[in-house]
Amino acid sequence: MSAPSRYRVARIIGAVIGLAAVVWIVGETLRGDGGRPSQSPKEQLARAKSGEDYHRRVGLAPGMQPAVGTQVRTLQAYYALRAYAGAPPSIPHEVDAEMGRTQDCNICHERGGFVKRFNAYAPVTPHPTYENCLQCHALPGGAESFVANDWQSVRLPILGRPALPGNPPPIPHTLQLRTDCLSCHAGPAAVAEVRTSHPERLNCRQCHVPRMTDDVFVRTAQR
Amino acid sequence: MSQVDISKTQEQMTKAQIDRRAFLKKLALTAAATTAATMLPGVSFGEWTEVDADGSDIQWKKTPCRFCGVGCGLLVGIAEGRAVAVKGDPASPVNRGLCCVKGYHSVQALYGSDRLKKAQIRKNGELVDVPIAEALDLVASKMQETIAEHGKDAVSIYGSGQWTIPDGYVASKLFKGAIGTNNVEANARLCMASAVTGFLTSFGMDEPMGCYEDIDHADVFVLWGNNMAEMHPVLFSRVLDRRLKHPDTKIIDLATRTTRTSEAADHSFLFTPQTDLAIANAICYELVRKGWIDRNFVNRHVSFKRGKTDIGYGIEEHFKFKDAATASDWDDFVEFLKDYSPEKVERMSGVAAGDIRYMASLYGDPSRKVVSFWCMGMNQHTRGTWINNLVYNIHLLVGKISQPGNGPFSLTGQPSACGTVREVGTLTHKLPKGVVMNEKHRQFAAKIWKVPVENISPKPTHHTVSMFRALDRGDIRFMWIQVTNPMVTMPNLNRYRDGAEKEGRFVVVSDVYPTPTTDIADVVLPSAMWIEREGAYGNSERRTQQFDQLLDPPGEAMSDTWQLIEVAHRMGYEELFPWTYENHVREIWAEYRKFHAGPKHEIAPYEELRRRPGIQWPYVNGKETQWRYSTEHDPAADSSHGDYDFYGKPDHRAWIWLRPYEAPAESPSTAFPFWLNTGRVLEHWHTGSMTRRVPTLHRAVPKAYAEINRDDARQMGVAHGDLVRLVSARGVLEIEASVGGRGEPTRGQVFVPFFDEALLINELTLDAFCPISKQPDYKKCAVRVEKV
Repeated sequence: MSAPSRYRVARIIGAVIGLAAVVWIVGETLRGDGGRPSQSPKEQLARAKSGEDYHRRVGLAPGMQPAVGTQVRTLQAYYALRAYAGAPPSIPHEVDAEMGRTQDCNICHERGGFVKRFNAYAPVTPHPTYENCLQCHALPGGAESFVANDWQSVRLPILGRPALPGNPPPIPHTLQLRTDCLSCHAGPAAVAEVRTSHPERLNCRQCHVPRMTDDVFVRTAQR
Repeated sequence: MSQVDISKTQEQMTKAQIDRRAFLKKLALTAAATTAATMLPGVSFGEWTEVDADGSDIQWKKTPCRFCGVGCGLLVGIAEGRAVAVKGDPASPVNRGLCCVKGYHSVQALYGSDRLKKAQIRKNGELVDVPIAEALDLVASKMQETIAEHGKDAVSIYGSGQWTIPDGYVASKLFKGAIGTNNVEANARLCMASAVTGFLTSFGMDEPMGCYEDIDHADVFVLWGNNMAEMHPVLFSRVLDRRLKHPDTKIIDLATRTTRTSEAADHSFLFTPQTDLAIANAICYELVRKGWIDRNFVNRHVSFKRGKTDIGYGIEEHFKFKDAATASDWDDFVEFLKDYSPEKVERMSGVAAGDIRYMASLYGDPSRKVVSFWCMGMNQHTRGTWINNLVYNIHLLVGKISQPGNGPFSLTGQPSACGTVREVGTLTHKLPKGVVMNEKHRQFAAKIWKVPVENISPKPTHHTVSMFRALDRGDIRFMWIQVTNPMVTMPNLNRYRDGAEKEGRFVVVSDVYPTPTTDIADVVLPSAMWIEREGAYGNSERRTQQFDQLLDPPGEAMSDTWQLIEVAHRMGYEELFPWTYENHVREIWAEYRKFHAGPKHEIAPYEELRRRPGIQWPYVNGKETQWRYSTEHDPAADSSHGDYDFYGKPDHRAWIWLRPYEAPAESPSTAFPFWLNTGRVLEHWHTGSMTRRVPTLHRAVPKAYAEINRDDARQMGVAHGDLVRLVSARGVLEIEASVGGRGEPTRGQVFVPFFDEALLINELTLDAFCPISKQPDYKKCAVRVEKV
C-alpha cells in the first residue's frame, strides 16, 4: 500500500471518530441535564466515556458494566434482528448444541443480569412462560441468502409523540406477547432509546395507552 | 522472493485493503445512522426496504398459516398492496395468538426474487417463457392427445395436502368425473395414508375423534416418535403451558432419537426402530395383567379382529395386497399378547421392562387423562396401519377416548392434508364421499357432479409409488404435478427421476418457485400462492379455515384451481365448470358441501367460514363437534348404544386389531450397518422451496447434515462438520456430519433432514411401503457411513 493512501485512511478514521464525538457531545448537551452545572466539551466527553451519565440514568452503581459489552443496546441493533416491527428477533449470540437442545434460555433471559460468557446484560423476555424458545427465535447463522428476497415492510413507529408537550407518549406497538413493559423498557439491557426514566411506577398503562388508530372520533350512533 | 510469492503477497495486500475499505464504509454508515438518529429524535430505521406506510396504515386480515397441519390462525398485515407483517390471531382457538418462526416469517416466502411469474414451455431442451394461455392450450391438447393414443389411464394428476380445498375438488371432478380416470394422487400418500387406514380399520371413519382442546385437560402426553417441539411447535407450547400450570402433568417422549422434545419431556425412552409395534403390545399386555381394563367400555363398545400377517413390503413391481378382517375375541387377544411381556420386549426394543410398565401405569390409572400424539414416526412405517391400530388398542382398553383430555391424536404435516386430500378425497380409491369401488358412492358423486355414472371408474388405479413406477414403465404418459416437489420427496429418487425424464413422458408442474421438479418439467405453470388467491384449508383437528384473496399474484401467476378450470374448459368441459373467476370458490363450496351433508360430516357454509377463524366439522345446527362418537358431544352418536357410538363401523363398535411385530423391509447388515432415518427441522417446511427463500430461516439452517451419535463418531474418527459419505443400495451422498447437534440418534443410526435440494437424501431411501396404506417408510433403511 502506498503512503498517501495510508494517510487518507487515517484521515477518514480520524474524521469519523471526530464526527461521532461531536454528535455524542451535541446530543448530550441538547438532552439537558437539569440542575447539573455545565461542563466543558472535554469534561463531557470524559464523562460520556466513563459511562457515568449512563449509569446515573439507569440507576447502576458507578463502575458497573454497562449493557452489551461496553455499548448501550440501541434501537438500531434492536431492529437489525427483526424482519419487521413486531417480528420475533433472531438470536444474536452463539447457541451451542447443548443450549439448542435444552432451550434453557430462561436461565439468563427470565430475569436478566450480566452474562460473562457474552460480556453483556441479557435482555429480559416479556413472556418467560413460553418455554419452547427456538420455536419463534431463529438461530444465528451465515449472512448469505439462498435466493434474494424482495421483502418490504412499513416504516418503524416514531417514538414519543405525546399529545401535548410533557404528556405521556402512547404505546406504538401491539401488546401481544409484550404485556410486561418493564422487561423491555427498564434495566441495564433495555434499548437506550425506549428506556423509561421512572421504572418504579409499575402501573404503566395508567398513563401510557395503546395507539390503536390515527383517526379521530366520529359520532356514528344517534338516538 | 519468487514471482509466485510476490503475486500472493500482493493478492493478500489487495484483500486486506478491500477488507479495510469495507470496514471503513460500514463505520461511516453507522456514524451516519447515529447522526441521523440524533438529529431526528424518535425516528429510527429498520433493516428492510420501507413501503410508503406506517403501522397505523396496516390492515390485518385473517388466514390459516401456509405451512404445517397444525393450522395456526394468522393475522397478516397488508399495506400498499403488500404483506408487511404477521401476528398470531388471538381469536384462533388453535394457537391463541402464538406462531412459530415459520409462521411469523411466512409472508416473506411470497417475495423470493425468483418467483415464477411467467409460464414456461420446454423447447429444444430449454424452458422458455410463453404467455400462460399458450401453455394452458398445450396442457389441454397434450392431455387429449395422450388419452386418444394411450387411453384415459395414461394421464394423471399428482397434488398434495397443500392444495386448497377448491384445488383438490376441481382436480377430482375433472379427472374422476369428467375424464374418467382414478389417476389422482397426492403427496399426502407419503405423509398420512397410514393415519387414514388406521382410522378406517379401527373406527370406520377418518380423522381424529378429539381436538386440540384435549391438551388443556390432559395429565399425561405420550409422544410416539414425534419430535413435537420442532414439528408441531405451537401445539407443543400448549403442552408445555399445560404442564406449567399443572405441574403433575407428565410428558413421555418415546423415540429413536434424542431431540428438543426429549429434553423438554419428563421421560425419554429410546427404542430400536420398528419395535414400537412390540412396545404398544407390551403396554396392552401389562394393562391386561394388572387388570387396568375398562371392562364396561370394552364389553359395550369394542370388537376384536385379526388381519393378515406376513404382509410384505411392496418393493416388487405390481405388488398387490388386500387385508381381510376375521373375528376374534377377548381370550384370543389375551393369548396373542403373551408374546409381548415387558421383559421380552425389553430385549427387542431396548426400552427397560420397568419403563414399559410405567407407561402402562399411566395409561391404566383411571385418575389420569392421557393423550397420545404421533405423526410421521408412526405413519412412515412399513407397518404404519398396524402401529396406528395398536395405539388405538391401548386407548380402547382403558376407555380413554372421545373425552376432553383423553384420546389418541394423529397429527398431520401439511396445511390441508385433512381438508383437501382426506376430505375431498384426492386419492386413487376415494371420492369426496366414499370410495370408487362402491356403486352407491359413485352414483352419489355422479349426481352432484352432473356426469354419467359410467364416467367414474369403479377400479382404483395407482397409489403414489405405483403411479411413479407406472410413469417410469410408460403406462402413464402424462402427469400434472401441482403444489408439491416429488423430485425431492420420492423415496428411491433416482429411479423415479430417470423415469420422469424418459422420452415420451410429458410432465406439467404448477409451482411458485423453480425446484428440482420444475427442472424436469415440459411445461411450468406459475401459481398464485396462498393469500394471492381465495381458498380454504382443513387442519388436523377437523377445522376448516377460509381465506380471502389479500394480494395480487405476480405476473401471470394463476391459482391452481383456476389453472385446472382453464384446462377443463379447453377440453370441452365448460358445463361442468361453469363458474366465473369472481364466484368460483363460493360456487365450488356450495357444490362440495352437498357431499358431506348430514350430522357425521356437515361442513360450515361459506359465509360462516369467512367470518370466523375456522370451524370444526361436524358442524350441526350451528354447533361444532369437539369430541366425535361421544353421545354427550356428537349429535351423530346414537345414545341407544350407550355413552359412545362408534357409528363408522356397522356394529357401532371400535375394533381392536391383533397386530403382531414384524421386521422392517430393510435392516442394518454387514455391508450397510447403520439405520437411516429422515425427517424435518423446525425452520424448514417440507422441501424448503418456500422457507429457504426466507432469509431468517435459511440463515438458521442453510443446509442439510447427517446427525451421528457421538460414540459412533468417535469410533469412526469423525468430528462435527467433517464430510461423511452415506451409501445405501440405491444411492450415495456426501454430507457434513453433525455430532452433538440439536438431535442425536441412537447408536447405529444416522438422521438426515430432507429439505435440501442440493443434498438429496431420498436418493438413498427405500421405496418400501405399508401394504395397507401404501405409504413409504422414510424412517428405516440401511446405509454405510464412510469418513471422506
